Amino acid sequence: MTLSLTVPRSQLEKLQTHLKQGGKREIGGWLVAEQTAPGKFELVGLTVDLEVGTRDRFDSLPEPHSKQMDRILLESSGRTGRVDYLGEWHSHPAFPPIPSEIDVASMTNMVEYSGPSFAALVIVRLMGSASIQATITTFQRGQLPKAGQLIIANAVPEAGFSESWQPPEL
Amino acid sequence: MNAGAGIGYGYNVAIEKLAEELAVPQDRFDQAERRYKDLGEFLHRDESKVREYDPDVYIQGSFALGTPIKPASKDEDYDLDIVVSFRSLTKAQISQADLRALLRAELKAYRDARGIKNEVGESRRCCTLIYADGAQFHMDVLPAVPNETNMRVVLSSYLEDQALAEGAIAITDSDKTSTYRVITDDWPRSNPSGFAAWFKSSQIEQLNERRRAFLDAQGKVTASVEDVPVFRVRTPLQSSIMILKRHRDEWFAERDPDLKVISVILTTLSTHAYAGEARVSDAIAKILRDMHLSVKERNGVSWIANPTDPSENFADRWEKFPERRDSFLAWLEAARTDFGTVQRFSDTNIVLNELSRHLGSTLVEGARSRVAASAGSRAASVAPAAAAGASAPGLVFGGEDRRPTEPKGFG
Repeated sequence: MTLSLTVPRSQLEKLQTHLKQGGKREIGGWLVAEQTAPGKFELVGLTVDLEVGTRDRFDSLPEPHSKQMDRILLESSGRTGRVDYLGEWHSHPAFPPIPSEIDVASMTNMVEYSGPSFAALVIVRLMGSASIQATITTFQRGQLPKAGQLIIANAVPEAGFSESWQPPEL
Repeated sequence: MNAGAGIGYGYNVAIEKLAEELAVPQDRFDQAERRYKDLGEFLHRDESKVREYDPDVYIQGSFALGTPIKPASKDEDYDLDIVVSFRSLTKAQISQADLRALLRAELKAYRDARGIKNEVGESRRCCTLIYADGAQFHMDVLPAVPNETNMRVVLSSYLEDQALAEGAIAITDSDKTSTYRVITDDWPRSNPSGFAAWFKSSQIEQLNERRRAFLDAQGKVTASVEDVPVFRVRTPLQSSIMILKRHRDEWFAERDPDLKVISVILTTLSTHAYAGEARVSDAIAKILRDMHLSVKERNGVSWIANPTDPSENFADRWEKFPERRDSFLAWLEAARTDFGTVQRFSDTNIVLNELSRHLGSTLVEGARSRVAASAGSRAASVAPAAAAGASAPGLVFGGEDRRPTEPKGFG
């Protein structure tokens, strides 16, 4: 089953704002999504940490993101589907938006040992002032990483989301 | 090695849990640290007979490398190896016997001051203190003097990097009767801090990733990874060595324990064979495949060079006792078979059942409990996935608590 994540226009705009704020530093956070069907999710919120990243490193620390996720859950309490942590996102301002070895190792480690049994990793890069390049990868316990599908609701083609990469061999 | 190269999911989980179960609890490391620091402070007290020689007390061996394992039974001790290096003494000033006597006298005073019941013991190279307070600590204290100058000459003659001489020490050996009681330059050499530095550098990427995660977990995001002692984290190499040590202990216990592969050989060969694998299961597979490659032949003699002293052969006793070499090879073959047989299995219970015969039932049952504890929190996610028709847990928000609780590093 391929995981698909629909990103509403409003969330894409928030992401663009964060990426501009982040500049040349990596930024990122958690993806909070509503399950609409098995394997299908809609992004309802993003947490973000603008402080901890460097040019080539981002650390996802649970505490600040968990607090932000609480607020997102409150704001989305009227939704019919279950809303929960879907995975992680971070930017690669200086590199192509594909998972690095460290990214793959961290996500694999989480789904295998310490966290949820599956999670998505979205990596984004701002191109120019408005266009975003992005990939989504699904990590599932006992399975190899797999490319997922990003869908922009009411998509404008130049948003430039890319899914054309192949998961790295571990 | 990689995830697609024959490591089953269940085997991977079993190996991780075995390493967790074998690990010495952090409070034991803290206790060990307190013990050697306490001895260091004692040797620097005002009345100390050795204070003027500027004793430097530090830990060596498995506690320094982060590879000790829990004793197999409550009757066994943790071996804590301590070096006392008298930094302002030289080989030109004192004989090995007199250096040993100096330290022994101070250890007796330490024993009296700390109310340790057992007498100070002695072996070929060190003095021994056994705590009888239920701490299960057996402290071997190695007297030494600095030996960097001598070591540089040795390294130069082998055309090796002289930086390896940093931390080199000269130690005593009561069996060498011709040199033990006279002032001579001819002392046995050692370099435990150099060995520890080599061990760290051989796995620096994995080590620093875990040190960073350790700091993150403590909220010390701005601290340096160098500040985190190697024993505060557990790398794939450390875990692999721990598991192989237990396999070795069990294998030789059923045969001739006198022929047991010594830990420094197991550690050195494992470190040479390790190539940065991120998972313990991959690291063990690589180590077992390649560890024999660093056993060299020099003039017909099996040679496992000390990485900080190429003139030292860790396998020196194999020449006199060739059965030790044979035992090493037989054990290695057994380990390859025992782990190789189950490494493709995806059922953790079957893996643990099989490994129980080779690693001991107490350890394996402990690991099984750890598997059950972590699986319990995840079991709820299986049901909705099954309902959705997926063979794996599935891409469904089930009953599991999904929020991450541990920091992650991305790059």
